[in-house]
Amino acid sequence: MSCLIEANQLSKVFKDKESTVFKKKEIIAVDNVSLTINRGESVGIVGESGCGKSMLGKMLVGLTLPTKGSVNYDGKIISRLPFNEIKKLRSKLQPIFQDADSTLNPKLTVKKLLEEPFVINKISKGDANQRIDELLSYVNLGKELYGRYPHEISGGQRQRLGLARALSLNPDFIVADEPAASLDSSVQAQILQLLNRMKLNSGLGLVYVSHNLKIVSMMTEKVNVMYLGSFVETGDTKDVFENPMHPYTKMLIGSVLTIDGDKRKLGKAKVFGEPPDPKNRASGCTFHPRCDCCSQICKEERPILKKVGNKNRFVACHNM
Amino acid sequence: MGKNLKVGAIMISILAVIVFIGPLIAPYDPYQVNMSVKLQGVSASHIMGTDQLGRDLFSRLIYATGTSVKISLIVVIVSMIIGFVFGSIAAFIGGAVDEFLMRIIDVFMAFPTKIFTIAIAGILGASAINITIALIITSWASYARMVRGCVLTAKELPFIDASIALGANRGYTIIRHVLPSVFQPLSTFAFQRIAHTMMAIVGLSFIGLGVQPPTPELGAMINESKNFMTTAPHLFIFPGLLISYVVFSFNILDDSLRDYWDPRIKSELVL
Amino acid sequence: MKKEKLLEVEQLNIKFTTSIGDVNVSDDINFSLNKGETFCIVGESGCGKSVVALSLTRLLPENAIIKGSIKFEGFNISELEEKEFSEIRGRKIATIFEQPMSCINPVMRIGDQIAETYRANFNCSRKEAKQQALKKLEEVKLPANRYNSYPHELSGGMQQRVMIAIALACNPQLLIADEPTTSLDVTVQYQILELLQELKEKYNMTILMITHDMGVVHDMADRIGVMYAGNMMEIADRDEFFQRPLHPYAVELLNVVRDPCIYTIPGTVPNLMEWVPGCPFEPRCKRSTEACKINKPKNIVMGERIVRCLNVVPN
Repeated sequence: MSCLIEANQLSKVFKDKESTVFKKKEIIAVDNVSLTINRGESVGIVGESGCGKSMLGKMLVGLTLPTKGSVNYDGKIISRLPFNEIKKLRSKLQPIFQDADSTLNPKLTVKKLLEEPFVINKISKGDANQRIDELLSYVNLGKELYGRYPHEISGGQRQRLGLARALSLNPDFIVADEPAASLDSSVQAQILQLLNRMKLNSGLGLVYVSHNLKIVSMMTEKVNVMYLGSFVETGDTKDVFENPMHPYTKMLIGSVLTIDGDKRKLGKAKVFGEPPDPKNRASGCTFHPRCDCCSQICKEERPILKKVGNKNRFVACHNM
Repeated sequence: MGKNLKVGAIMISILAVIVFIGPLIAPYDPYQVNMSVKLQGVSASHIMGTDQLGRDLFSRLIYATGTSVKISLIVVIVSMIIGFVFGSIAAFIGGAVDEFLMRIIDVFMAFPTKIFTIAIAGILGASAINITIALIITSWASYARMVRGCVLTAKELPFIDASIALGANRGYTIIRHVLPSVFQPLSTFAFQRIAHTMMAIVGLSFIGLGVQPPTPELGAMINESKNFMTTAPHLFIFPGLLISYVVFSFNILDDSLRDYWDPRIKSELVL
Repeated sequence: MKKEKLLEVEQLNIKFTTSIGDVNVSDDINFSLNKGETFCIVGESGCGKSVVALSLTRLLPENAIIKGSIKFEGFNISELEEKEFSEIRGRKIATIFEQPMSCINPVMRIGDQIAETYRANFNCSRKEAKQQALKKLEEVKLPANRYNSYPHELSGGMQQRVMIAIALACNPQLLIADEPTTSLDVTVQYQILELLQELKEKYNMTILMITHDMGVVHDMADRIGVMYAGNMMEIADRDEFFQRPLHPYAVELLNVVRDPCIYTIPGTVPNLMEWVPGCPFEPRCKRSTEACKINKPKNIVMGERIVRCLNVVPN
């Protein structure tokens, strides 16, 4: 398989608003993350809110530049390109945002919004209209919506409009950041199936960022579990979900309530603690305050991702 | 179109007719003194009566409204432009430039309007031009601050990111997304300020610091009429009513335009 | 064994009058809550589930017209005067919402807020109230040193715990939980639900839970009501419901939730502004017939189970 996107040791650090001249405070949003995505492959990134998964997604499509590390696309390092080059690349790397509502300018009509990608890239009206027709039938939207404003159409339609915009420039790579989180389950399914079809038809790489493990387990082939800015477990989705190794992965999977089976799950899994605050990172293994098998070394030394077994499986934990 | 917007639009249209077409249909020259008909009440030849110098009140009111409205429009438009330029420079460039401009704005915001105008009138002498300058100096800063805030918010809106992801450059997002998002709150704000500026001009002219007699101006006219309050009440009733009318019509239009411009409010279903 | 009923809702009709017409958000809804059970009303956004919950404690805006009878412990509380009703609201029926900050005072220490609720309802001394508040904090598993924290210093999950503590201050018999965990992370949701379950057993409380998440329903509910477009489509016991849903909407919803990559329900949720003569689910329904377009389905009662559909497949 050819490698589409390769991220090497990405870090993103913000300056804390509370920092002063005397005392610099930093917030580490993403910490030394490496990741590769192949063509036609879908990769999941899961974690609690504030773990940096959305920031990682933004760096992968070049919307935010990393503080350290690099993202390679097609052999080019995005962060080192001049602005004009990045601009050209951007059409090939598309984000799909969680909140379709806020990514559509409320003052533009559906038609204007659909035309925007073509206007920006100076594509002729005829070509654009033809492509828009294709896209509309692809995402199953009718032309009767043309004159409406984003708030006048339903949430599902808005998300499909967002998808159509992202697809309009034939991207190679899509980062979908919780694309279905705010939708009802019946509509959610429509979006997920659309994403799957997209991946199969055009062979693009897909990164699916979500806190919904159930959906990630169905949508992706590989998964990365993220905690406080770094990956704690990566591997093939099936393996990870069937046999989670990192205590955090176990906790996450244990806390998902599904309707499979008759038994109730509540009270059976060990779930503790709150999602961590990036401002107050724990020493050693950042997960140790919530871990039930924490030992002395966990408090002192930071574990690194180590290969476990002979499959493509990496876990960052001292107590394997 | 809402009911309020219709009412506001009609009221403003009437006002525009008074200001721009009024001088053409005014029956008398507003400066023409005719002592033989001084302090007359309402009559067929003078539909709103005459003042202490026998000038036709109706004609004077038409010109006076023009003076007040024109000055406030000039003040609002000029300070809007200055504020827009400085505000957007501060927001777009940011950093030290932003910091520097904001401190200047803070200084200007600290000027007390009335006292500053009195000072200007004292130094340059009271006149229509000086009051305009004084009002611009004291009001542009609030526009700048407002524009800066709007741009900063608009710059961070997710749909700007979406547009950049589609390959847009900065110029495109500014023109297509940021400025339109700023334009609407800015014009709402400016509309609000018209009524406010109008009151300031009228007030300053009333205390003799603004437009000077014999130039017809609503505040100055009320000032002139104060000696004849008991004998010729129409001299202050008509200008007073007109001030209320102008301020009210700008306020109602400002309110309804804000709702009209925001497509989200337009069709909101309260559930 | 006949179960004791705590709340009985009959023929509940709620209509909103708006400037662009009337909206019917609850269409002849009947349901009842047995003492000590958890009843979940599940439905997609805009189906009217929250409105039904709010109507029980009269928290709806003024443009809502509510008809029907609501019996609480055998008394018809829908006809009570506002003054008498306020005796029930908070003391006997407490509510928790999705956004805890909407009902916590942001400038008051959380411990004081819990204590305040005591003092307002039980007329006890400050010291006693503080004791009680500390006890409640412990019950919702917040450390005692959080007593003096302000709400913004707490995470979303902790705020939700504070709200639960305030709601439970008067030992209510019925707790209405309106999407209590929707905006929380899965791990926090799990803990909050565990807490609710634990408190329910401890105080023998009845819970009316409003949610759109079938997973939550699966783990919390004893009985389930499925709402769609202002109609209560099906009411069933949890086990029966998940093994064999009867209403076509329930069937499809469960399929979609189980396997969102295979199943879909075509179409969208209907607009409640548009009145339809027949079944509101008809346009999206696989089993729809001509009759469904014309006739509004009536409730079919099968023992404990109620289904509102013209084409229910019998056993």
